[in-house]
Amino acid sequence: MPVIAVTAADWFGEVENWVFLVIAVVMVAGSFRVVTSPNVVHAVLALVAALGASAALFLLLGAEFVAWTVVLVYIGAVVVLFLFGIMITRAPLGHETALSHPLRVRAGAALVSGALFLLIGGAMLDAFSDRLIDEPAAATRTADLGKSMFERFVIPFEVVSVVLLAALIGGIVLARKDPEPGVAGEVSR
Amino acid sequence: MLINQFLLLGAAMFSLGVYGVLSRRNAVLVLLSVELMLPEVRSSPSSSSPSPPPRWASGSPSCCSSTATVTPPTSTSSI
Repeated sequence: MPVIAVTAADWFGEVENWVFLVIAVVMVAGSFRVVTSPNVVHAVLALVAALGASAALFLLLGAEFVAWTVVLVYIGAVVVLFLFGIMITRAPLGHETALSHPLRVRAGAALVSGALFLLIGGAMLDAFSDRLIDEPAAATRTADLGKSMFERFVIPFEVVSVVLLAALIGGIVLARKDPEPGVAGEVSR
Repeated sequence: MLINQFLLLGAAMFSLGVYGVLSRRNAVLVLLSVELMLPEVRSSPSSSSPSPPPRWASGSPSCCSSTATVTPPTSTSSI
């Protein structure tokens, strides 16, 4: 991989980088709303924006299949599941201040996450200082993805399905409440 | 495009997710913050895979060996 010193003028001269900047702004703003919004539904809708920007980022990287999988699975299924869960259960809707911890805890959390960002970012800057992504427009072939998944990684794939089965059974066990053994036939309170 | 711009964006999103997990009291919002962290973990290998062929972006452990997408030895792995 060629190591080229990239100047700011070079960087801003590429259209892709402007697209990246727009996506990054949407992503960071959306995720900031997710963690700070005083309304649960607004937080979920901000998560939609952040995940949509994430899918756009995959498109920018040329990974089309992964991008549409993000749209289908995350935005289509996970977010809808969250919304149903919020609206069906008695979750606090509307503005409530008790959704977050008090300011002291939040300051500590901000400190921890800021330190984590500096740590990860410093490590990234140290590792890939000026390296460019080679041929970013090359689309990923879905056939390659499927081939590697079902030939090389078939065992982890099956293990993941067993994990999903275990999660399904665990959900049923958690959600179902058997009646008391003495009062069979009556509906327990 | 630099590799680092994607990785730094991922680091920022991950840190925001960590902030959400630590600062939220409601369980649904903690789960939302976890969801915020997951895509970043997944998008990092796809942007930093160094050699051109393996860009299937699934975050698999063999992302850094360029022989992975060339058809693997099927005699041992076909079941």
